[in-house]
Amino acid sequence: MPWQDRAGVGVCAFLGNLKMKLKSLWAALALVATLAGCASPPQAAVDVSGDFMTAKNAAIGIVMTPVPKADTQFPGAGCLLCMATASLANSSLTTYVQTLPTDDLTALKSDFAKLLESKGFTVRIISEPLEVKNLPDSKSTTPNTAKQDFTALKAKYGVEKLLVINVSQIGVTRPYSAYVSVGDPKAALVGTGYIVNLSTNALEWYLPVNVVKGADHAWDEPPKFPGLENAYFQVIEMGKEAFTKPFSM
Amino acid sequence: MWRTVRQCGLAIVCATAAVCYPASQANAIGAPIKLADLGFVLKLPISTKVAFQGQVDDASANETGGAMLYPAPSFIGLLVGIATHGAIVGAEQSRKQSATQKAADQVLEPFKPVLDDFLYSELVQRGVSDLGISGPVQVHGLDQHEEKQWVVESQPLFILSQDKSVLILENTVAVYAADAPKTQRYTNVIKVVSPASTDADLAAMWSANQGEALKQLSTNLFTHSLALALRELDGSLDATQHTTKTFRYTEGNIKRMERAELLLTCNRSVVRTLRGWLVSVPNPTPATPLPSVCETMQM
Repeated sequence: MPWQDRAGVGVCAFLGNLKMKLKSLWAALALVATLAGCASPPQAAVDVSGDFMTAKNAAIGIVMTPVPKADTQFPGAGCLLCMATASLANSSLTTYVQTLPTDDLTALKSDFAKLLESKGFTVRIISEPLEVKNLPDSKSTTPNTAKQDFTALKAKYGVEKLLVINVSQIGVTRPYSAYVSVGDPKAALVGTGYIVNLSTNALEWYLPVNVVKGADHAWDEPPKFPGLENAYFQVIEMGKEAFTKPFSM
Repeated sequence: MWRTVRQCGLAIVCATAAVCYPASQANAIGAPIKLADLGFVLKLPISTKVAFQGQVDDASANETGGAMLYPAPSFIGLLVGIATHGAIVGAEQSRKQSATQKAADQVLEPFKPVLDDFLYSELVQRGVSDLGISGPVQVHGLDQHEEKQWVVESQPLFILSQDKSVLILENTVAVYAADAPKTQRYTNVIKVVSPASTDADLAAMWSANQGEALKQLSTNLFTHSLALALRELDGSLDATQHTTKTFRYTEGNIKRMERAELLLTCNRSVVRTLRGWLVSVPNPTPATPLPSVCETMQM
């Protein structure tokens, strides 16, 4: 082949390669931009302010989001095969955990009500659960503002502020490193508690709750895993304490 | 790691630290037996030291390792990698558990001279007469005994809280007919938590007079646990409420919660846990005593 043709082929190949690389680069940049746009910093904790504790003329509604069923989680089993392996290895545990009741958590509403009423607040317990994800998104970018727009609930519930108890996870968690468990299963409760001012949508209190407790003595006692079941009820009690502690002082 | 072994006719679960508990809910009782009237042979490792441990918070973190990449040129290589990873993690967890218990046992160091001389023979001789039962109790290895029909085998473990204020007994008890030692009539763990001591210098208090206070408290816990076992065996421990709830108590500076059924309440509360174990704890405030119930609850 004449050198001119060889040179031409080389240039075409180079340009072809460059085109592919640029396409990949644009795709990667587009993905990063999309993810960056979706991601937002997690809400930091907001302490109960002195102003809140003194403004006792505002009626406070107390509501819970739907409590999930008790279940198992295997953080660290990141790949699909890892998750399948973890699920299979812990199937009897999962079967039992899914039968555990969550009724004790609903007492949180009355626990909060008693605490707030003892401090002079007017309280109203909202019996039906609140689906926060069905509320419209808030357009405010002011810090410590609820991500959803709760203001329509002021007229619906007839209260000035809303205390929301959200339990997002209840059950047993067992850490994994790919296919291998790296710890014993432990009972876990994860959630958030917050108070929204229904006039301004501002957060007047925000508390992430994450409680973990292992079994006393052995945990692996199928079919009823009494050590883990005991730990499960312990995290419910510890979680209830964690939620209400800021108002107990 | 926990393993299941058969020892002296008991199906028990043993940790590598050689602490043994009955397999969960292995305490079938069947028809009541009034050993308090019949009498029995009490069997313990008479010539050995009484077992003591420092208290460990069982829920302390035992996680090891993090994300793992498996260099796996083939599927077999991947399996080998997983197995190796598992073995390493398992060994690390065992090592951590042993190290944790060893660190917790440091609380017993001031009492080592006392505990080295405290044998089960002394524990039993101090306590048998306090059982308050009418039937004869003979101690295997100490008494020249006739063959009694029933044997009560006991494996007590005493645990001292890290703040030294509370002594806890976990007594594994098995009952079987003398002529059928491999057929357990009753097996259970009875846990007794002592009242909290408030002395200004607890180490000195427990050590004084050759450990008299520590030995006497150990004896009181031991006889109380045996009395509860005998009551469960004769059918006189019934759940008063037949509902399960979460009970709270303290062991030194550790707050405990137990999902259990209430069986007795007096100056102490006795509950049956989800494992079927009996737990006796002091009430935070004294209850009005009911004489017929409280006579066996004195400590």
